Amino acid sequence: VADDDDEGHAKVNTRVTLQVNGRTHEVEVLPGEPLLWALRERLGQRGTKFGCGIGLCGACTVHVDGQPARSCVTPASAVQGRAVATIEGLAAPDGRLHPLQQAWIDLQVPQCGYCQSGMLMAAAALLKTHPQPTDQQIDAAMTNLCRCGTYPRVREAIHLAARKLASPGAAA
Amino acid sequence: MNLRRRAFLVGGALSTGAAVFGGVWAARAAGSESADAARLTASQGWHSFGGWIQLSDQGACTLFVPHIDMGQGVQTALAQWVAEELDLDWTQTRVALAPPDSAFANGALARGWLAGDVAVPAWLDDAADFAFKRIARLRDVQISGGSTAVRYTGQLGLRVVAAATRAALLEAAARRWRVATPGLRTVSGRVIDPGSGRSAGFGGLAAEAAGLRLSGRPALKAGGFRIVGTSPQRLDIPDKVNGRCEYGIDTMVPGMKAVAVRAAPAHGQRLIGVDPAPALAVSGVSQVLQFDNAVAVVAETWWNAQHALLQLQPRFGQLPGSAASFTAVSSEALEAAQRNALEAGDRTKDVRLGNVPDIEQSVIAAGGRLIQASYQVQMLHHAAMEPIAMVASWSDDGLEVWAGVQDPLGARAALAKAGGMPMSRVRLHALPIGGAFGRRLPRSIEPALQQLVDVARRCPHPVKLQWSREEDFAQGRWRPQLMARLQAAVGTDGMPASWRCLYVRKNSEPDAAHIPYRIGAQSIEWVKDPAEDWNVPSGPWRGVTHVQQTWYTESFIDELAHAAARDPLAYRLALLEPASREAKALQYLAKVTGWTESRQAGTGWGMALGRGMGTVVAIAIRAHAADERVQVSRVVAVVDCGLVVHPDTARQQVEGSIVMGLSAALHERITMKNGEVQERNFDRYRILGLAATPTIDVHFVGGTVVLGGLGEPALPPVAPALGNALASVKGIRLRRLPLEAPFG
Repeated sequence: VADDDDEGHAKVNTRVTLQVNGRTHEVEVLPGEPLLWALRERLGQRGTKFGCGIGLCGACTVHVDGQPARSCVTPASAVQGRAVATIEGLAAPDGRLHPLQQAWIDLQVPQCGYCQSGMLMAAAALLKTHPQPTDQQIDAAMTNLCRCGTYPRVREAIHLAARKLASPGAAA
Repeated sequence: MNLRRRAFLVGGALSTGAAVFGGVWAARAAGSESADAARLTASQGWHSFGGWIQLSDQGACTLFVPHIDMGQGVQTALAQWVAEELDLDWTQTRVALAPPDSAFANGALARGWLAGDVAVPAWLDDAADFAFKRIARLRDVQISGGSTAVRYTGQLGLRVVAAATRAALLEAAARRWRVATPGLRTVSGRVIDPGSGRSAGFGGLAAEAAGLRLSGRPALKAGGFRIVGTSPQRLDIPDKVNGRCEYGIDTMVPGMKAVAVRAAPAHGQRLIGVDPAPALAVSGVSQVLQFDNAVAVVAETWWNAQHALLQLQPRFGQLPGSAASFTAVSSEALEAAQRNALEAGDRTKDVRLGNVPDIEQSVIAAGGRLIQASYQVQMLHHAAMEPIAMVASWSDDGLEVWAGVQDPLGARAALAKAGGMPMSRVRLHALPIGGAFGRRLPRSIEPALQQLVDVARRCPHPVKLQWSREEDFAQGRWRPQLMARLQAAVGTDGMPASWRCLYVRKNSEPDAAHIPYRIGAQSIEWVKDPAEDWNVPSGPWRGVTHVQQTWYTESFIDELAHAAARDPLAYRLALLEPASREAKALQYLAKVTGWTESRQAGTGWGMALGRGMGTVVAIAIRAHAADERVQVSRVVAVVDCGLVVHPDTARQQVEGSIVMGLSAALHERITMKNGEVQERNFDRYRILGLAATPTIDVHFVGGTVVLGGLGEPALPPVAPALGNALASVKGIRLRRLPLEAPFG
């Protein structure tokens, strides 16, 4: 785990204001504490997973102002005043699943499921900028690692969700 | 999860009875173990059948599955067997994890193993020390591994219990209506009397039926399956798309603190000393714990603890007077020692057919030649996405643990041993695992369980012990580094008259070195791994010994085909029994890949054949030369596992095995230097990503009888198929994994 604290010693807690899935939270964190751990351990939102701690595997992917971010290397203090979205906020407030979540179920994407929160958040960010992504755009955006090997279904499910978003009434 | 609400009542159940499943179960249906199982899962308004199946007064069904979910989807496949034999309404069928108690031990797994009916699960010898040999061999195993769940637990276990439950429901209805049982039928959760038109739901009959003695030999459906062979949606997936599935790392219990740990990076070394002050100066830190070989920090949150741990400078080393030099271990030293062992080590025979030296001489005398090659594999890490993380609470009441393990019952026994208490005082809540691949099998997970207990007993509050990714790599239980030397005497017709394989053996390799090819003279021998006492931990890794042995065998047979200028698929077919499952799988592979037309220059197919866990898999991989690099564009797998219970999860398992096999073959390598692992995270231990994953086509060619497992058998043939594709497309023959370089 990278030590983001310039002082080298995190002796004092600091108070930060986080906006997560539309709600505002005041939490005490250590200097340099990554957003991932503030979410998981201070706010109790454990759908976002820890995988590598160096921003590489993507299990911790969340959105910050709509952009995908690796929360294990994003200090909590750096996202104050910015909108954080996590897997817990991907479905609509009334519980309706995001088209990606439905596509994930339709194509039975997850195996162990551990990386899938990050996969879904990365895919959701991709569809915001590229509503009809090409395979090359999927390749470039989906750098999340999955040890169970769900990649072929992840790719298919992104295409399926994109088709459904383009013509909401159409059948799969 | 239901389990959390239950107390574990059983202490003495270990001492009586036999396994619960299958025929053994049937013989003792009224015996103590099914009674124990029933007691463990009892709840109001529910009626138990053998402890394994419960029906509610409303007609809902819960079955208790002894296998952990680590992504393989077996709980759904097992529920299908039950719904099939019991004629349940699928929407009324639910699965719960069976408690980690001997009443739910894998009797069926053990039975399949002892009967030797299909393939001996190769991983079992590794697991055997732990549970099989210690507790009467049949008793204390509850393993999810060896690709056994559906073929043993399902086929021999839950299916039988379900059929017996259906018979009891029929009998209850017959008594109520005063008619003969044979006239009655079951349809989707109801018993029907076609004669009178009467019907009754299972729920209304459950109480009476549960009072009847279960049949020891219920009639099983012979075919005409309604649910088996279909792909209902997996029961675990909805919670895996909304972040709600809770793994060990997500467990929270009141009053809990988090623990970060660092153990000696050179295995076998001890903690000489550490100044705890820098960690104690960090806000939120409550303790620095020192153990024989590790230092741990206890704090309010895990990042807090890990951050403080990184402030410490523990000194690890050898104890005064210790003879062994743990820091001398390196990959190069391992290789040199193994090379030497192949030359000079004591050989033990695996297979001897005919007189190999005589055949070799006569082949040479007749104008043939000897072909030789050596192959190597490197150490591999499981690298599951969830690092090891478990929660424990040590109190006057005993030990309570929340953990994802592949053998909850074995883990419970290990926890009891680590805590120096009887099993009755250990409660284990078994949780879904964020990938395991063998890492959480008994012997491999035991040191982590010991560490958890050591921490918990020194803390007056519950603890979550969580490893960083770096610790997860540094303290792995790796697939070992190994090598083999192969030799064949090839006649003027290009066909082998003899086959020699001499391999370095770590742990045991029941049958993975055996070859399917009809070669009259064979000598398969092994030498003991000289590094066995070198403090390099190892453990089963997905596919187990088949991974390396299939690399050796299928690379070498391909070399023989190339040397004979023969098509590698036709060459193999010529050496196989024409009616064998292997030959049929190859013929099917040729058909679906259009094999003969596909071998144009610059584009190459490589293929390999795998056999293991009762399943035959033929794999073809297509590689393209692109500038200096080689790209993999397509993988085709033909799988014969017999009857496929849930085609979609079966396909998932094969897809996953192929991706993991490609990843290992292309990139993965754990390197030892000065006794320490060099790759501590995904930056240096590269695993395959989405962009590099080729198109994967899976074809099942099974029959109507369950023969083999699916969690592993498609992985071993991937590496040789890839190496053979490289030889085909570039004319380069690589004999050491990972292949890496030409694939960029």
